[in-house]
Amino acid sequence: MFGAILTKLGIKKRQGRENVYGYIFILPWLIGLLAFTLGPMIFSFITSFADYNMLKINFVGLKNYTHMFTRDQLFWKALKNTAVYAVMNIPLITAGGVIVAVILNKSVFGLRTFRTIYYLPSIMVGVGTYFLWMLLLNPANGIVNSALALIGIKGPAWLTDPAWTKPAIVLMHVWGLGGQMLLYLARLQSIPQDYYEAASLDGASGLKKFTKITVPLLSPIIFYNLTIGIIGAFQVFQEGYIFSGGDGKPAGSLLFYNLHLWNQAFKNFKTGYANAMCWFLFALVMIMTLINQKVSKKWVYEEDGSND
Amino acid sequence: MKKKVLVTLLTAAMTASMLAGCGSSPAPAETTPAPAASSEAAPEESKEVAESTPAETPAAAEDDGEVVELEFWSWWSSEARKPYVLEMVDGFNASQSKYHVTYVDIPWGDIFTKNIAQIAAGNPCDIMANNLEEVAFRAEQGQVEPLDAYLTDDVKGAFYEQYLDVCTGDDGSIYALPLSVDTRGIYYNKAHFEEAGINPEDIQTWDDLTEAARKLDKKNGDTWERVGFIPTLGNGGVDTWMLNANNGPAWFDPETCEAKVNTDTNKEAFKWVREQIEVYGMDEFNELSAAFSSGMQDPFASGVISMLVHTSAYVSSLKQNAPDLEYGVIPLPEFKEGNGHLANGGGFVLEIPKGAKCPEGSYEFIKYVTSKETQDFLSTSLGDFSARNDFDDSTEFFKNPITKEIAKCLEETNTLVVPNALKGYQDIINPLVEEGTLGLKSTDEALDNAQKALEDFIANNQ
Repeated sequence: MFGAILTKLGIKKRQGRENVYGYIFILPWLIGLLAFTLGPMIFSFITSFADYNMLKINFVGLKNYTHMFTRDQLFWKALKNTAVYAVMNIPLITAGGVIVAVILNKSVFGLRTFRTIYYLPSIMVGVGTYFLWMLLLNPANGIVNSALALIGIKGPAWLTDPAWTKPAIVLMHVWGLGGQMLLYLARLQSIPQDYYEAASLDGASGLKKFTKITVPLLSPIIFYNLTIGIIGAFQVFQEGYIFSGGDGKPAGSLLFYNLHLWNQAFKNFKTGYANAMCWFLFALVMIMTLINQKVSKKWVYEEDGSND
Repeated sequence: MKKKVLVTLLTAAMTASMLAGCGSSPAPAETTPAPAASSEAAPEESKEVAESTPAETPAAAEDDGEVVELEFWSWWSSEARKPYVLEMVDGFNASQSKYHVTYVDIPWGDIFTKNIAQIAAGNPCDIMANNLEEVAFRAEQGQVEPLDAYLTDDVKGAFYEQYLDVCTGDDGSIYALPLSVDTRGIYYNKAHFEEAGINPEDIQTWDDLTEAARKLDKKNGDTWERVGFIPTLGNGGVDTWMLNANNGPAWFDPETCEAKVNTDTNKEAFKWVREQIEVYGMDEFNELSAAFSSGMQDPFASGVISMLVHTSAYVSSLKQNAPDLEYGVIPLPEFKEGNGHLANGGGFVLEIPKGAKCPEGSYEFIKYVTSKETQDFLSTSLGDFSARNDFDDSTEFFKNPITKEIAKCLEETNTLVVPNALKGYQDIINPLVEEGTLGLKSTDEALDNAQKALEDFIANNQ
């Protein structure tokens, strides 16, 4: 039936037909993108040049952008908070994910159970976990500080001391690295054991095998996780919103870029300005991703013909 | 070949369902049928309300058979509140035949963004609950309908002037009517006071408060067994104490909108706040702050803290968490003798979102809810205070001794309204002030920094 329609439309070759099928399969997504994502994106770009409060639009040229860089007293602070968080979070999560995956790739007793335990936090997302962590991070009787006390360390006031709020959030994310671990694990299992055996015969140490075989073969996944991680880190919002109640306290240490943006859009109704902030963040993340991509050529191992 | 047919059919089905899904999603919320929810409320009691307000709106009797469906949005969804809200809505529906109101509860975290999105889409709800402090701001932003066309003098005259002022926009129109108001006071543990030999009425000034706190403190070695008082815990921030010390807005001049953060009064008052924290040290302070912010523990309810600043709504929380706790409430003390016991308060209003389809009907509902009978019903069942000026001690609610004590605090309460020109200033100065509260900077330095930042903010936003 469908074939007949295509024949009528003059699409007779196998190649052409497969293209049509392909488009039909992505059609649900395509409609969603055009109707619900691309439209609002264009609208937000246009209103980023306007004094817009969701009800009135008054075009002001580049004023929102100049206000952002020169007059908004919280803009740089919010950007710095976000950058500091990203710099702490991304390397730790990446390294942690690789290490846990390598350990859980060995045949040890209770392997499946451990893999499940490490993966569990990834499916426990949402606001509930933040409240759970507020209890875990309680300075007096939270489990984190109780554990630290066992080894003789007096734990900090995680969420009330401005110097410790960002490490607290990083700690929370390290707990949830199971999602990344799973990707590494899948890749690790596809590395042929012959490589390790050959290396052992040549007298390579465990560390050497790890740095010369495991890491290079994992590098495409590491690169993927790094890219996603950078984008994710600059989108950090919920943690600041929930732990600080929306205003970034203590002492503005949890005022992340997106929290500031949200406050502008929905508390102060400077939606046009918030849209300008969105587009600046988009440009920033885009540039970082491009740099990441360029640099990746130097360290990401590519199998022949996998990409160029 | 069979496979191909299957694929084609599946694809067609998917596409069709996708298109259907797109088509139906923007369907207006109006079409929601009158929900069964409102019938949940206890029928006998709702009758009582209906009877106590016999035919308040005779205009509603123009029976042309068309009942206008209205939606009332708020966030009250708990067992403690929702049944009474539903009862109130039923009471309105029974009191007239022209309108039918449906109650819709939407979580606090979503309702305000949903509301503004609906207004922007031209399809808002009909009656919206919102905060009292920002009525003028929302009016300026064009989010609410003015009520002037419907308001009569008898309705206006029934509210305390200060609250009606807060509901008035910069253009002089009234945009909302107050649903409930709150205040702050110091809750104290009666057993601790008796043990330490303190008479609550003796606490009149900040010095008296400090003295009482020292009598209440109990330390065993390095650990605090009992904490007398920390001014920034509970629901009283630095703002509360600064307002009290200034007997009015502390950070800016409300007339000229000029910054006055680092005045001598503020410096002295802020230093006092910090000193009260230093008595116990940062470890104790952090521990107690974390306990309060997680919401899982309440050191006042468990008897760890003897005195705590909180709003009038704290009564219902204590009723749940510590039903046996014996406590009282005193007004905030005076900074200096004769300075006044002023506290900052807030409240909630009902308003008509811009573009609501039937503002007359919305107003009828607002009028019903803010009437003396309904307000009395809400006070008695929810413990909320009314902004109406025609209540006296004879009602059941005001016979409760705690209510009387809080009513005393309410007499000296200022609703902190941020002038539209200064909107968002707290985001700028609060983090800087907090550096002083937490001891990262000296209190004077923190205020100097905040002064500078607020001056810049005002200059930047002109």
